[in-house]
Amino acid sequence: MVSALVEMKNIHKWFGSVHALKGVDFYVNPSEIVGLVGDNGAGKSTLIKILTGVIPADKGEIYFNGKKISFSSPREARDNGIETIYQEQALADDLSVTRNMFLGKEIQKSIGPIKLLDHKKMKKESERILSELGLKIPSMDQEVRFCSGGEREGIAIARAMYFKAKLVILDEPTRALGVAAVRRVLSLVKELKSRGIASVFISHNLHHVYSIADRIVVLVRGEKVEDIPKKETSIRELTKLIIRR
Amino acid sequence: MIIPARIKRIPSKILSYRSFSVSVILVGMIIGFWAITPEHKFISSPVIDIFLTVSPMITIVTIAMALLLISGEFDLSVGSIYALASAIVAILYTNHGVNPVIAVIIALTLAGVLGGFINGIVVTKLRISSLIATLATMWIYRGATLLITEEGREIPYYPGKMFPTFEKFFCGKILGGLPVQFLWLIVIAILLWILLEHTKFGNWIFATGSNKESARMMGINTDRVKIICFILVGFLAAFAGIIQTTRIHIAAPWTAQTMNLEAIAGAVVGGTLLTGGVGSILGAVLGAFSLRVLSLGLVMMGLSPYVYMVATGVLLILAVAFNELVRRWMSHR
Ligand SMILES: Nc1ncnc2c1ncn2[C@@H]1O[C@H](COP(=O)(O)OP(=O)(O)OP(=O)(O)O)[C@@H](O)[C@H]1O
Ligand SMILES: [Mg+2]
Repeated sequence: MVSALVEMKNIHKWFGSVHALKGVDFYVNPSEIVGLVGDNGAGKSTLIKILTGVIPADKGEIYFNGKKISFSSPREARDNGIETIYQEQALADDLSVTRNMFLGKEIQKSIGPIKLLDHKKMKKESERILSELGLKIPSMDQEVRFCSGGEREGIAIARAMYFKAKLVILDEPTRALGVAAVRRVLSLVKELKSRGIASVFISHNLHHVYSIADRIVVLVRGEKVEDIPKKETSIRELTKLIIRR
Repeated sequence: MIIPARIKRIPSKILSYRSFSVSVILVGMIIGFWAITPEHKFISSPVIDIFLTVSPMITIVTIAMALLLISGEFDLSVGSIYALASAIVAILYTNHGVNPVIAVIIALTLAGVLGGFINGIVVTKLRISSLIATLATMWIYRGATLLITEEGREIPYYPGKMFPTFEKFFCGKILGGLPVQFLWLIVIAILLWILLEHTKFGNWIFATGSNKESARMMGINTDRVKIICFILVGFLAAFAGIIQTTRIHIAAPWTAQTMNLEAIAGAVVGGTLLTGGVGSILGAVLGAFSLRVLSLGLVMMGLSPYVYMVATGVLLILAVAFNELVRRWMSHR
């Protein structure tokens, strides 16, 4: 067996009296696409937030590249090559495409002892990576608020690629997207895989998940009820599991 | 007719330029006052001289406020910090004979840096909204000013008598009559502009005010960004207060009571959004100038200060409506 890129063991989380995660085991292999599905409130986002250092687990262990870790902030997770993309939270609306691309990892140039932003280089790099991925955004200086949902998702994914993430987590990236934009996002996730980047893909749309995932994990009320290679299951079976009471 | 894309983009380029609306307002007011003041006296060297002398202090506070507004917070305590800093230098120098340089350093540290730091900590760590937090410190710092000045008595402060260069450093004249404080304004505005537009930290200020969660996800310590902005505002408010006191040779404990709202109004007229993430230094400078031009113009026409109050309110509403119109037009393009 290949050693997993990420392995979460026996993860528990309580929110007051709500037992949101009840001993979940979850792993992702290098360059694997894992679909994570489950009904509202199943605990998908909570599991991801624990992995990326947004909130701590109450119990359980996490291994990254075989080493036991516990990220205490999203910054640490990011420094270790885990990029998370939330639909609403991925980008800052008032900032330009370029400023968003490089947010938190700005390219600087030195003028004597002073370090200033290298706007030109950042703009050129944004243009290069976005056009490489087939995204046609009119101007890198345009505020992200004027980008469509699909373009925004594309920018966030491009960012993860540019910074050589090892694992990209996409929490409902296809929500509120039109048909063409969904297709674009799905093909970008496949592009991630072809570049050796693993991803976790969360969605309520089983067709989206099924079309790209290598393996699918089902959560029901905080418990993992299925963990199966895609080839060995079907959308119908998955649906049955998810709505099981 | 087919218009090439590049030409089509020109008007939107100009409109998207953050300080567009306020530039129009400012130029319009200057032309207007020039036209209606008797003998076109509005543009004459005494009036320009008054403008260059009195506008820098409030403008410095306004650009600092703009920076903080962009990060998503505001500060109602700036006027109190301004008064506290001038009281501290006057007490130390006049009552205790402390060297004025040391007095200034102490005032900048205690009233400015510490005052701003406390604001930042209360807002970010105690999670109290900046409206409540700085409303509270506005009273605390003003109260402290009144306590140390013995019931709010004015304190003379005239270091220029013994240290003429010291006074010139803050508010002398150079280059054939340009007030030094105006030079300070230019230097500070350029530094803050570089900070905001050309450094990593500036990018983080915008991101923090625009979408705190996404900034955090990208690994930015948004609390630290806000605290540093609060400290900058405190420091510059204290600095402006010290310039004023040095200039008028007196520390007035009750001074600058409406400075907080004037600074916020100036920044907002200049296109800064109260909701954070949007704004510019140049816009804030022009916004503050607009309010000064308005006040000067009305005085020139012999109108009472109460007219200025009414006019400021009207200007604020018109400017924000104009800004909003331009923004909406941009997004419906
Ligand atoms: N910060 C919180 N405080 C209290 N309860 C929470 C918190 N976050 C999540 N929960 C609870 O934990 C459970 C799991 O929530 P989670 O957001 O992980 O679900 P999800 O699978 O992502 O659902 P959805 O598909 O609707 O996004 C829910 O019962 C939710 O109410
Ligand atoms: Mg969720």
